Amino acid sequence: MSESSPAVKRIGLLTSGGDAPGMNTAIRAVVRRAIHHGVEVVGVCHGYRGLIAGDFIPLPTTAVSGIINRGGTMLFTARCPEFTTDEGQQRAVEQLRRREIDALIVVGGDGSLHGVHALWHKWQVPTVGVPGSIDNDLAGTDFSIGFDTAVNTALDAIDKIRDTAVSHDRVFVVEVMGRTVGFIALHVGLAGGAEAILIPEIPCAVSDICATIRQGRERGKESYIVVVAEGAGRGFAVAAEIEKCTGADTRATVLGHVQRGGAPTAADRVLASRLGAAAVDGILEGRVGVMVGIQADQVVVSPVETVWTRRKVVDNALYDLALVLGT
Amino acid sequence: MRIGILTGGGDCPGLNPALRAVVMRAMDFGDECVGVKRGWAGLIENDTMPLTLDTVEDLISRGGTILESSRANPFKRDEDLQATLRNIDELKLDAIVALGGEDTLGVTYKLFKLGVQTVGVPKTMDNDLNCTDYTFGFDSAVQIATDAADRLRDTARSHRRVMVLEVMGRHAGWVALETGVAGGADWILIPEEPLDIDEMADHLRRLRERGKHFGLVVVSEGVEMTEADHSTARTDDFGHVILRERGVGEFVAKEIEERAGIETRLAVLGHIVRGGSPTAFDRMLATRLGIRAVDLVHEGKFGYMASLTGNQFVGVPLEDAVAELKTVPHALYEEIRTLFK
Repeated sequence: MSESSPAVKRIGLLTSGGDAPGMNTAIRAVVRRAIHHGVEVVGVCHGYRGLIAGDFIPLPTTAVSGIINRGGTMLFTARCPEFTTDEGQQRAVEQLRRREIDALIVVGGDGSLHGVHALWHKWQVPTVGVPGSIDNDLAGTDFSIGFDTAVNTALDAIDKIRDTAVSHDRVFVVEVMGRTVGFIALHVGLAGGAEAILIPEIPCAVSDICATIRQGRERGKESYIVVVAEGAGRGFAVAAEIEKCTGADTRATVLGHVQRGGAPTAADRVLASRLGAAAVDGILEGRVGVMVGIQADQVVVSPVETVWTRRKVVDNALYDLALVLGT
Repeated sequence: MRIGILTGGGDCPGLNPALRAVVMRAMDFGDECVGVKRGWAGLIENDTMPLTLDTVEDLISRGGTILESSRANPFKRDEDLQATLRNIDELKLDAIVALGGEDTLGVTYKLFKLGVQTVGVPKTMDNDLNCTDYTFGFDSAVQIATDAADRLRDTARSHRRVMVLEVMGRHAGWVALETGVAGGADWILIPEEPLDIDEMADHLRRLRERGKHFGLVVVSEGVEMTEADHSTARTDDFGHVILRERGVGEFVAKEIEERAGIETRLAVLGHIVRGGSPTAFDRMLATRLGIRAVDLVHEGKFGYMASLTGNQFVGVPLEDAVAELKTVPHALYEEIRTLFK
C-alpha cells in the first residue's frame, strides 16, 4: 500500500474475467463518484486485452445512465493470456501513459486481481481491485458482486423444479456454478430447502445421499432435490449414480450461464455501488494495490494478494444447518 | 354424480388451478369429486384421495399438481386395462375428467370408446394439441424461458459469445418459436423446419461482420439431427423417444463453434419450465377449461374435450383433438424469419 499519491486527474476502468450481474452498477458508481471528485474516467473495453490494444472510450456521466439494472458489462470482458507476460503488461502500461491515465480500477475475479497486483508492484500503476464474481470465491470480502443475483436466479429455478419433482415423485439433481468453491450451492441449497448439497469443501459420498433417499422412500418421502456445485461433480453423472443406486426416477438440470445474467438484485446493486465508490476513494487517498471489499457490512480494503494467499472457506455450521433443515 | 379427476403426463403450471375450477364447478351441481393419484396409475392401482373445497381452495398460484402425475398407460397391458375398468366400477365413478396432453387424452378417448363416460381437459406446455388455440402451461413455460433468454443475452454480450438455449416442446416448435421471438433470438431452430446448420452459421458470421458481436440461438429439443441420433435413446411407456437424451443443443453449439468459429456456450433449461407459479393467462385459461369440462359432463358430452376456440370455451370431440399434433405452420416460421437480421 502507498500513503502518497500524486494528483490523479484521469482513472481508467475495466471489467475482466467472467461477467457478473452488478458490474454495470459498479461502473456507474465509479464514474459518478469520480466525477463528484472532479476526476475523469476512461473506459477500457474487453478487459486487459483492450488495455493492451488501447481500446478506450470516454465515460462521461451520461454514458452510465440507465445501466444500474442491466446485467452483463457495458465495457465487455475477455480473458487475456497475453497480459500474464511482461511484454503484454509493458504494452498495457504504455497505453495508459499515452492516454495520460493516472490510475486504474479493475472489476473482476481472481485472475483479474492478479493483474492489479502486477500493475502496482511491477509497474507502479496505482490500481485498485473491485471483487466481481458470481462464485464468491474471493478472500478479503464477505460477498463479491454478482453472487446474490446468481443465488437468487438458481433459487428461482429450484423452486420451479421442486413443483415438478413433487408432481412426479422424482429426485432432481441441480448443478450450479461456483468454480472450485461451494458458496452458490450452499446458499441455494439452504434457501431452497434441498435435501442434500454436494460442495467441493466438504466430502460427502453420493452413496450416503443414496442411503438417505432409500430410507426416505421407505417412509413415503418420494421427491428430493440434490444441489451439486460444479466443483464437486457433474449433475448428469450424479443423477445417473443416484438412479442406479436407489432405483428412483432421477433427472438432472444444469443451470449454466443463465446464472451469469439478468438484472442485479437490490443487494448486488447496493454492494456494487458502495464498492465502486470505495475504489475511487482508495485511489484518491493513495490506498492502492488493494481490493475493496465488504466485511460485517463495512467497506474495507485488503492487500490484493489476500485473494490468493488466504483461502475463503465456507461456514461448516451453515452446511450442517442446511442438512438439519433439509431432512 | 361422482366425478373422478386425474392429471396425466408431464406436469405443467396450471394443473392445480384447473383442478380447483373442476371441484368448484362440480359443487354447483352437488357432485362429489374423487382425486385419482398419479394419472392412470391411480386407476390401475386404485389410489385416490378426496377432493373438497378445502383441498383445492388455495391452489390458484401453485405449480405442479397435488394429484401427482405419471406416464402410465392402461392400454399397454391387458391386465392393467381390466384393473382400470374394475376400479372405475368399484369407485362408482359416473364420469372421469382427465387433464392431460396427447397421450393422456388418447387414453381418455379409448376409454370412452369402451363405454366409460370421459371428458378431457387439454394441458401441455408444448402447446401441440389440436382443436384448442392454447393449452395451459405453455404461457408460463415461455415466460420462464424468455427470462432465461434475457439473462443469456446479458452474458453473451459481455463475452462476445453465441448462446444456444435448448428448450422443451417435444415434436412441436411452439415453445422455441415464442421464446425466440420474445427473447430476441438471432436464429430459431424448430422440428418442423429442416435443419440447415450452414445457413445458420453464415447468418451468425454476418452478424459479426455488421458489428453485432453476440448472438442467441433458441433450439427446440425435438429438432431432427441425423438418422443415427435416435439409435441409443430410450423410449417411455407411450413409445416416445426420451428427447433429452439426444443432446440437440450440444450438437448445435458444437457446430456453430466449428463452422462459424465463434465462441459458443449452451444452456439447457429442461424441467425448470415445468414448475413455478402459473402466469395470470394460464390461471384464467385453466380455470375456464375446468369449468367447461364439468359443464360437458352435465351436458352428457362424453368423449369431448374442453377447448378454447377463438375466445370461446367450447367442447370438441376428443377424436379430432388427438388425431394429429398441432405443429408450427411453415408460413408462420417464414414470417418470424424477418427477425433474423
